[in-house]
Amino acid sequence: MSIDMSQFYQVFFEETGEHLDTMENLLLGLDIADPDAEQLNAIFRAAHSIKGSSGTFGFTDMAGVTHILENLLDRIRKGELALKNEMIDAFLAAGDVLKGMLAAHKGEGEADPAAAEAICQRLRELTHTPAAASAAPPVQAPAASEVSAAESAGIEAWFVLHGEDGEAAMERLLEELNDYGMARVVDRPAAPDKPWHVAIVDCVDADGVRGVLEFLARSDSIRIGRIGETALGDTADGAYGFFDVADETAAVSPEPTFSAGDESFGFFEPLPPVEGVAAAPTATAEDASDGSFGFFVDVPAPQPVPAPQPAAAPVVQAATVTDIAGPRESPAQKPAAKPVAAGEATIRVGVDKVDQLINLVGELVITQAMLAQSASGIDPVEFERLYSGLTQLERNSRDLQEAVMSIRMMPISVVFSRFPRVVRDMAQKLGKQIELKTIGEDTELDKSLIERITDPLTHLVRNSLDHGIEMPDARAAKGKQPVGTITLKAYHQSGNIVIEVGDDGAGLPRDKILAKARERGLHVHDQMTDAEVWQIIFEPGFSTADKVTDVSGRGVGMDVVKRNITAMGGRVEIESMLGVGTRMTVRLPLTLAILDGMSVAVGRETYIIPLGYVIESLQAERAMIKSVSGVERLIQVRGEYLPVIVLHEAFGIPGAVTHLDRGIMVVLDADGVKAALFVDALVGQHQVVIKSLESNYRKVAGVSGATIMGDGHVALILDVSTLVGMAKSAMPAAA
Amino acid sequence: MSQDTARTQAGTADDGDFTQEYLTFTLGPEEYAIDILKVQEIRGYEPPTTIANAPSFLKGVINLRGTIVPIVDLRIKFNVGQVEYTPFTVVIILNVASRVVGIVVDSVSDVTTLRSEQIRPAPEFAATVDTRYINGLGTLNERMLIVVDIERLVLSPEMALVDEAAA
Repeated sequence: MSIDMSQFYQVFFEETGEHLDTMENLLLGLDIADPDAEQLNAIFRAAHSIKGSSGTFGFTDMAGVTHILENLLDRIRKGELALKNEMIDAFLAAGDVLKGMLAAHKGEGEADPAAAEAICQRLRELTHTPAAASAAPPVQAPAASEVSAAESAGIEAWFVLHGEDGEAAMERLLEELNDYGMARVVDRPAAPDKPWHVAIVDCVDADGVRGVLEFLARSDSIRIGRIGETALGDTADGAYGFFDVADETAAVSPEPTFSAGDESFGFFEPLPPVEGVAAAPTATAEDASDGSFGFFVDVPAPQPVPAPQPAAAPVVQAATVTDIAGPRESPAQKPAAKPVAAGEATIRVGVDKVDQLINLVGELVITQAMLAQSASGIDPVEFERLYSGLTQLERNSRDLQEAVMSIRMMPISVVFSRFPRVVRDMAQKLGKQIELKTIGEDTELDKSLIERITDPLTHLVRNSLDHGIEMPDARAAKGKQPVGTITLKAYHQSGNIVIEVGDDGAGLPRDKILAKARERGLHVHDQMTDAEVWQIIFEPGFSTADKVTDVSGRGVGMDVVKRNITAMGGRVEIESMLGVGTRMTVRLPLTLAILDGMSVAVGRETYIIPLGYVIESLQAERAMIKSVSGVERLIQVRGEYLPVIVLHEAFGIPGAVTHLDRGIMVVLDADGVKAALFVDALVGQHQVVIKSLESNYRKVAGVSGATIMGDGHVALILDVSTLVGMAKSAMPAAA
Repeated sequence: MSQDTARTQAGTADDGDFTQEYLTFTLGPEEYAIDILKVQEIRGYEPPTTIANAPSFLKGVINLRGTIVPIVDLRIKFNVGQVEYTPFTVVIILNVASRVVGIVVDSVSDVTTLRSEQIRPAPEFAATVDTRYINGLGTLNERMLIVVDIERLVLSPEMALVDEAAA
């Protein structure tokens, strides 16, 4: 049964990461005054799963921290302690420590043992300080409601420790046991292979104690009984008396769910040496464990290796409520209940495989179109079956294409879910009160965009937090709610995804921006529209912040935000009203690989113009065309003189329309510079898949990429910025 | 055995006495041979999409199952044979340096095994094909095969298939 655990490490890392994220999200969602029991349970489940699997995989540092965290959580969950803000802080900090440890185990960065120790201490204090108050009297007297007097007397345990270094291990163990009650050593063993005798006063959680012991003691040697009960047989002969012990344990544990709670016990087996598995009281547990023990033996599948031991009873509770848990939480935390998680199962696949799939499906669609075209001439009556087959093929291949495209799509909640923490931390640091609202988290966009939008969005949110929302008293003075609101909203709009970051803060100070801009020597004037003024804040190094905080104010960032978003083919717009708030709107194409394009014909070639650059297209009249130095190079459109780029000249395409009043002028706007592109005709508007020319060829001036048209031919995508630039440089030469 | 295989595959014509397989093709009256391991597939010619301001031997790009592949007409580049595109015109798709490139040739002859002693070093002579890209001249039944180092040729600056920076 010795299994090389390292093959599951990757699964462990991913899962634990997910659990930590879930935990964090849930913590942030908790209402301190009236915590939702279900949410607390969910947090507990997440923590428990982390503890279980990290213990199983031998990452005892993580298991240790989670264990302490879990103790505190458990008390809160049971209503023994009231939830306080500092507890949430401690939990979040513990989450960070765990993340650090996880990264360290992954081989990225170093864990900080000091931080871990500090957070453990903090959690312990939180667990015990109020506990001491409530649990001071009870040593003999009946304490809490359901705890009977007999149980409160405590538990004693006999066990043999692993290894030689008994004293050091014992010290650690006592510390752990102290979480359950006052632990002390009754009897020290004469030799390392003889059992220790420990008494834990004021403890009822036999399973929990057992769980702790499992870490350090030989599982077949552990025996637990209530203080005051007759000692069980000869303390030295551990395993032989196990039937008695089993009964005893069942008696100790008041919860009827004991056996079911131990379901997961089997998972934990690999850690202690496993000979004599059927040890001690676990015999009963295993019988009831509905196969989860066998699961581990036969199928070392990378399932969420769930929770082991302590506080087994809560696991049962958790398992029963799993079904009610919200859809987003549920996949992350199916704890002990069933080894195979029903519901949302996912697989991880390399992006190149998906891309290949998309390519092949594209080919299939083209082949299908070709077949349909060849079949268009046939008699539908005579070839009825062929005809209906082709129709079906068309339908199927469209469906297939859609399905394959959707593989790359992910909900934006992946990005949004990180913001509650960002907002909370920063609000605390800045002393502001902020509520974060998210709308449209299910909106889907391409995974590559998800990865690249995270940083710019974070920056926008931080910006709103720091510069947008005012301090609570300032807000109160303005008659606003002291709690500011930041709204994140995502939705689809005409083939784009729109993400809005809104705040109800102070709004952008127009005068201040203009003044700063003048100071920096930028070209500004008072007649600029608001939209133009707001765009100034995207200038590199521009900041109106009076002081530089560690949050923002250095003026780096907004320009990077804009650059990143532009690089993704998107754009940022700002709407703002002084005293009412600011809204930053990011518009992105649905995927990086797809572009809305207008196809134009020049000679026998077809080119794609990215639709984002096109303002309008028109047929020029003779009178609109103006010449400079005898060369017709300008066109007058609505009072503006625009340079004309004649595409067939620029690209040397034969057989094109040469008279400027016969073809079509497409008016383009590339980063504020306008020009008219002269082409033969407009063909249509398509969504095209962008392919790189450079992967097999080289960069071509004026062309940003290529795409494959419906008939299988390649069409080049025009690089509008370069073309407009070419017009500028060509003009003086022509004149 | 494994050593033999390794030699057959890895050996270049001028480092010893072993054999290598070549794909031979014709450009006008001339016969050329290229390392078969660089060939991905052979397909018929289809009119490519032309690229603006590209050299004349670069016919354009085609769609090869979703990949954009540049097509070079070696007849124009080497200035041999009649440049006409018939149903028999052939494109050899090469896979060199993890790039896919198509070359237009008049026809593909066959796959030939040449021993290294069958390949003689090419003498220095003036030709449109730089002798740097010629590994040697092979003799096969009185036919002369021009053994071309196709990878070096395709990646060479004069083919202009690769960005200067990348090359």
